[in-house]
Amino acid sequence: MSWVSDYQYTCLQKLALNTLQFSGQIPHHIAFVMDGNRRFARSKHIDKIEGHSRGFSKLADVLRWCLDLGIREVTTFAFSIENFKRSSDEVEGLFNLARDKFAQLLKETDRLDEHGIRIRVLGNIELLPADLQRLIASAMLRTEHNDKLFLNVAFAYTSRDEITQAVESVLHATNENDDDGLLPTDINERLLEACLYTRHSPPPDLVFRTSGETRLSDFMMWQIKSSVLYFTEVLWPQITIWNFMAGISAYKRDSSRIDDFRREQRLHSAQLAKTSDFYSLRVQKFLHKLDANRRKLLIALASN
Amino acid sequence: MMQLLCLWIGQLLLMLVASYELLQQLCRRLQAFAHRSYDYWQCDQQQQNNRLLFERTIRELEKLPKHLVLVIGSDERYVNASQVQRIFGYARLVGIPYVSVYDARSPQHGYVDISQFCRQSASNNRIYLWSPQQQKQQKEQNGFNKTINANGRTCTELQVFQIRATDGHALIAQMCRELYVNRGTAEVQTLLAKRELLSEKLDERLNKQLGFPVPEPELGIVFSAVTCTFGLLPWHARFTEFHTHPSGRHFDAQCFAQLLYKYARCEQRWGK
Repeated sequence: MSWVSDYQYTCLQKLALNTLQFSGQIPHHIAFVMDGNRRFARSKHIDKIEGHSRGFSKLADVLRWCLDLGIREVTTFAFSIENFKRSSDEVEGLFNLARDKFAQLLKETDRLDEHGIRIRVLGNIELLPADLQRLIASAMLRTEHNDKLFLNVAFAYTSRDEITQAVESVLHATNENDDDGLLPTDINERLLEACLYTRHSPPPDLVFRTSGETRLSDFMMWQIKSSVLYFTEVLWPQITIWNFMAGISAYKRDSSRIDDFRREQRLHSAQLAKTSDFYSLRVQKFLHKLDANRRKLLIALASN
Repeated sequence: MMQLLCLWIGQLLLMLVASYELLQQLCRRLQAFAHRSYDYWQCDQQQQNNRLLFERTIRELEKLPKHLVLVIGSDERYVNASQVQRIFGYARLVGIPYVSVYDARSPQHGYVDISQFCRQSASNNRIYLWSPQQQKQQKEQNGFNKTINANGRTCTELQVFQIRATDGHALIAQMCRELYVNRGTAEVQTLLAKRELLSEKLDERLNKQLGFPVPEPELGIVFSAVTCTFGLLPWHARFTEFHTHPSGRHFDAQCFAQLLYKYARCEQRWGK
């Protein structure tokens, strides 16, 4: 099973998809919380891991739909740091599934290049087993030149960990050469935002959570301040294109209502950038170094 | 051709949805008006009915939230101070000890300032205390014993807290700035050795700075046409169950009880 499926649309689905696409207001970035794999497995009397595996193949369908609808960025919550608390069998099973899928991804990179898909894994990947780290780092490095669809997989991720990581990177801003060090006045929300794992992504426009839970479970808490949240009862492996389109339609309906709030937020952010000298050489150098360090880490992990 | 057809269908659907929503909104306003007039005339009876309703709710529910947060969206036009106070009243009757209010609107657009109708706590200037006595004199004459809530426990004043826009992202940035200024100290250097330590420290300092020593909010009611957090506490609202109350619909004790049922039905798994 590939990362992007060859989904065959029926005529009606094609028509509905085109209607959605041509009537404008398509979200740029969607975040999915893929919940309900285990409940699905229980209801079908299959193994938990089989449930997760079905969930993954559904993700491939969803990616296809996103690609065809013209959505540029998709973030999925695959594995939370809190999930380490699950039984070791299940955690190991999930890691095996991830190993499989990333190994397969590395085999079919031509197909990803063809669609221009870039994979980014968000999270504290150093918490994962070494071989999985290597696979993830290689996949990220291998697809880093693609820019048509960004697929962010949150793996070993929690929002608290991400925010702490951002604070950590600011505190680590080395002071070898004191002239270039950050000034305390440079530090504000704008700078922290630029240090998150999602530093190169716009905030999600729509957060889509399946299985009827109405909480965010520590997923992108920093980024979702003006995102439309859409909760649906369906379990992730059972999601159909109609559920997906219902979510997009809900976004279309709601986005105009919070446009003013978004504009305010953007203005506020621009103002913060101005007051804190965000575009000064000093800050930009720091951010550049942050990118360079992250890439260095990936190269080190990939060559392990 | 296909494109034109799709565009046309899209426009038609949009128009249909818009007119449906307009009708729905009208219907809600009419209902709200009817409910309000009914409540107004049944004032004495109402209090007693709510009490009975909540007594039944509590008997049937296994868990209750300890901390409720009211999120008022930037587009909300109908929630005002009296509505907020009504919800405080329900929370007090049910026995929820802490309620916070986060209003994303500006003062020109109806921002609810709880200091207008709540008494500031003597020990902590971020905590406000609310009791129905401060509300209306007439309620004192309805024979309802205010010191006992529907749970049968004696209740003190409700502790309320106003979450400001600066309590969210900006506060985390402020903590970061303070740590950065002291980065040379041994304390910060030890924190940098392990991420969990830094995370715990941030948590501790944020809680101290917020000045509201209570559990993280467990239930959030979003008053808006859109389900959105509007930037509510990114550090603390991670496991909050959000329920949206559509803009314009009347919010009464029944709605509140329904939300409590929904909350009690959800299973918190904490990652497991």
